[in-house]
Amino acid sequence: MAKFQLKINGKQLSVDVDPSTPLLWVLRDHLHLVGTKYGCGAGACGACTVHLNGNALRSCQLPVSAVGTQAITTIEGIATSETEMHPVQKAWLELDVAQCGYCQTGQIMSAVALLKRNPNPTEAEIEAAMTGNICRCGTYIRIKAAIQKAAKSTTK
Amino acid sequence: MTLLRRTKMEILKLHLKNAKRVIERTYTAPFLAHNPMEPISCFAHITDEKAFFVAPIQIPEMMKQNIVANLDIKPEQLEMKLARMGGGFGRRAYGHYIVEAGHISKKMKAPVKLIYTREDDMTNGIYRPTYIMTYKAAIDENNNVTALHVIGGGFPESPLHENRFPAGAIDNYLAESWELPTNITIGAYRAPRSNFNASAEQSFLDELAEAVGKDPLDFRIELLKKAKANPVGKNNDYDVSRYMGVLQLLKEKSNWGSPATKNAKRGVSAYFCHASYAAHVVDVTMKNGQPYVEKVVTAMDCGFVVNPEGAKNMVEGAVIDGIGNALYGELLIDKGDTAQKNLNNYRIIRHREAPKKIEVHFVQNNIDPTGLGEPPFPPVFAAVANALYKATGKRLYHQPYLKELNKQKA
Ligand code: FES
Ligand code: FES
Repeated sequence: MAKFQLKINGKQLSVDVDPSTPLLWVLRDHLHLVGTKYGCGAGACGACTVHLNGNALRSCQLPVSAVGTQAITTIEGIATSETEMHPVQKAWLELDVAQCGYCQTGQIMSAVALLKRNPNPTEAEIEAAMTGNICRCGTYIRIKAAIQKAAKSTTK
Repeated sequence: MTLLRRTKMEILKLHLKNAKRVIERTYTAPFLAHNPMEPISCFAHITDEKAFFVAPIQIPEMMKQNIVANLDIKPEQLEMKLARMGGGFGRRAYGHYIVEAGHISKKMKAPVKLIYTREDDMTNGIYRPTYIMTYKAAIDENNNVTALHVIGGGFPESPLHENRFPAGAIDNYLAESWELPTNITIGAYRAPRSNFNASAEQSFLDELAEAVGKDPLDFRIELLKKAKANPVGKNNDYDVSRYMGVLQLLKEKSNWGSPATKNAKRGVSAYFCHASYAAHVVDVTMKNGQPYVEKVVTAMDCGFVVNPEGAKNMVEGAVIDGIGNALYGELLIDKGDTAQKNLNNYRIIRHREAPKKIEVHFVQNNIDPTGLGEPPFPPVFAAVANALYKATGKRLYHQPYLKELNKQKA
């Protein structure tokens, strides 16, 4: 066990865990930030996607000891304010994207990171950025449409 | 019964013997793992007084009896809460993990949260069975299909629904099943049995249409017209008019005959299961030797549509699931273990492999609502295979089709 100071969603949080624990399980089991999901533990599904310094990252692949002082953002921390959702979240709701919803945290986190570095992505760029995120329910068409909608709402 | 069947067989044999042409084709499909994104999970706390469970499970009533029988507790001690459930595709119809969590809690004398890893789920799954189906048709000198024989089998169950279309539409028709036991755990997977029955049947009908020189969509409508005017047999379990209805709607909405996508080739397929009717036209292109489904047009009759946006989303998902499993889905067993253990080598369709567009059209009626999660799924496979035939000139008989395509290329 070892103590770690983590900067998560703008707050300083401390945990006492085995240094090899993947960030995913620190978030879920120790900090009770359960919006981030487990799907494979192998970096192959995208369900556990969070942001590390604003970039999408599979939290199941990152030992907590490697985080250091870098800023982590989870699905719980992306809303614009207490009362206003992120434009990507809004687009998701407007287009009724989710089916079971299980993969959607990871999808949204990947989408937010994509739009941050590329505010107006082409269809091919969306596909390339999102292809690591599996949706078993098959909501891909709506995910793409929602990303395009969010892109329009923020670049106009 | 035996006598009647033998007679039928004899007549059939005679037709096949006297036919101008006989076409015989065999279709196969592998085991599939459900791979729900949400892992299998259960919370259990068993004390001397009470057995408390929280779990996502599809059939809680059935599970209650299981728990009581397996964990040696009294029914009145049992309290079970249902958790919100992620897409299960049949995987969460089975509650062995609830019994397992119960046993652990009993032994540990403690509350237990059990979560399967992806590897646990994929190696200890309740898989879609592997199936085989052989169709044999007799064609006379006037290009009429005079007899059809189908034998379906699998480990450990047959995929065949013997009283479904084209039963009723062909004069001499015989459907037979065989089953062989296996110790591989199998169970329900989105549209059980139908998910393969449809792919074999609708691929064969496509080949038959070509053999008699007819358009594949019109050929199906013609057969249905015959089944309506002059049905063969009494046990046909589908409504001919509704079946024809989805094909007619599909023909109109898809502009059948002129692909919507540039350079695309089209395939059609239809099926009835879980009390609903579904038909698809898919547009397929080949890019660098890889098949892509660009666009799908779907016609559905599931009775009255309660939640149109949800219904549309459900159909889109079933179509994408169908394309994924048709092209990539395969779980191999090697030396008593699954060859695939995680999502790095078990293929599930991804963003860039999904179609660009899916159009869903519902037949408008006020009939009581029927199934929708399952019915659009089975006919996708053959629509993909039939389109790939147009795109590559190769008929595909063995799933997953991408593997078969690559094999034929080599
Ligand atoms: S759980 Fe991290 S990529 Fe699947
Ligand atoms: S919505 Fe169910 S896995 Fe994506």
